[in-house]
Amino acid sequence: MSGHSRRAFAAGVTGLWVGLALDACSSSAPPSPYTGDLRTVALAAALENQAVSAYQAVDAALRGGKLGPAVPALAAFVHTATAHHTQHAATWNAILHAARKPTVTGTPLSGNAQLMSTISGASDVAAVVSAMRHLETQAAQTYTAALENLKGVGPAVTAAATIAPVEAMHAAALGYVFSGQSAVADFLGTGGAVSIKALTA
Amino acid sequence: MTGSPSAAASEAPLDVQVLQTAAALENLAVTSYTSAAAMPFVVAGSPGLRALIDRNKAHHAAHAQAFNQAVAKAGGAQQHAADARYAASVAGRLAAMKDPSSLTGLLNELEGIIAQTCTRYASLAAGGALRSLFVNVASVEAQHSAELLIVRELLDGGHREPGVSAADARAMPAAAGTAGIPQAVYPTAGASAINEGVVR
Repeated sequence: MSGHSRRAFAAGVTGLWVGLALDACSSSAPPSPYTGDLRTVALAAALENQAVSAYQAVDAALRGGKLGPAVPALAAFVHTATAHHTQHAATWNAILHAARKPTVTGTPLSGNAQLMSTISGASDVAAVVSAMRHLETQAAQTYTAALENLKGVGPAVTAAATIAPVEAMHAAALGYVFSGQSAVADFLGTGGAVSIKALTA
Repeated sequence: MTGSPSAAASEAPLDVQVLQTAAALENLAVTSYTSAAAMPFVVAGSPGLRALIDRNKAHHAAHAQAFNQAVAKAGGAQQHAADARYAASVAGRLAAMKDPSSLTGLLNELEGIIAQTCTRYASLAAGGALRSLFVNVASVEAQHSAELLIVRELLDGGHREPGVSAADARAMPAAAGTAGIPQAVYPTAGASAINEGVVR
């Protein structure tokens, strides 16, 4: 790991951990049904729901011609990625359900409105691809960072380990096919991981 | 090239075994990419493919170093040899390689073995830092796979490499959009046994 990557990795994990600690001290928000590892699982379910919503918005933009003439490869990518994220959301929600916690059906995330605004305001393929690459990388880094703090070896660990590489592949494919440039780094890192504080449920 | 993890008896702690095996697989990737970079059809071929090969080789060297640093921290010996299970068969296939499509296919197989192994080990490792390291690396190998799959899809279809313009994006065939994302859940059935690459 390069010095920069190692520092970014450590900073990301530390940031997530600080987020958890700060959240535990907060008393202004209504009590969350999710605590401990299950709060991380709920965050993951919310991120997957957000990805599904975002791809549905991209699909609508493509179908409506808002992004210009047809882009067959992007339409195919969006269809498949939507199915993947739907499956990921079901995986995370199954863990919540097994723990007798409410499943996450919406997008209770503090950054959701901004993301959807970015997508709805995009008028070309490059802008949409950039937003979706960011979303996918963020998800992969969030799950990678979560593995640092999840307790024990349970279904959440398996879910994070088997879903993170898929999100990373989504990001790589988007970059390579639609911008003609590979942006794969030596390590995925965790610097862009979503803080647990972003979960508003 | 398939394998399955097994809890073979060994004197070394689990973390040392999996780190040594991961390093052995990374060393195999480095030697394989080194061979690939010297192939005449790569040297004289697409700059894009050459760049991917050189870049991926550097990544695998960094991963091997990271695993060896971790194994030293865990009290084990560093592994600087290539994975013995695959080394001879991969070298033989590389020696017979005649075209870029077949080469990207083999390199993708290698990336898949390493990514599946690291994904599997993330569920076995006891510490959070090690779990995170394994998935950090698995995700990069998976990204290498995604790009190699796309390159092969375009080569086999007679299409040119992706470009930077909107017109280039529109010219990409639909199959290129899905070639690099073949599964919803990353598999682990092809993971190496935990003691496959231990230092003996």
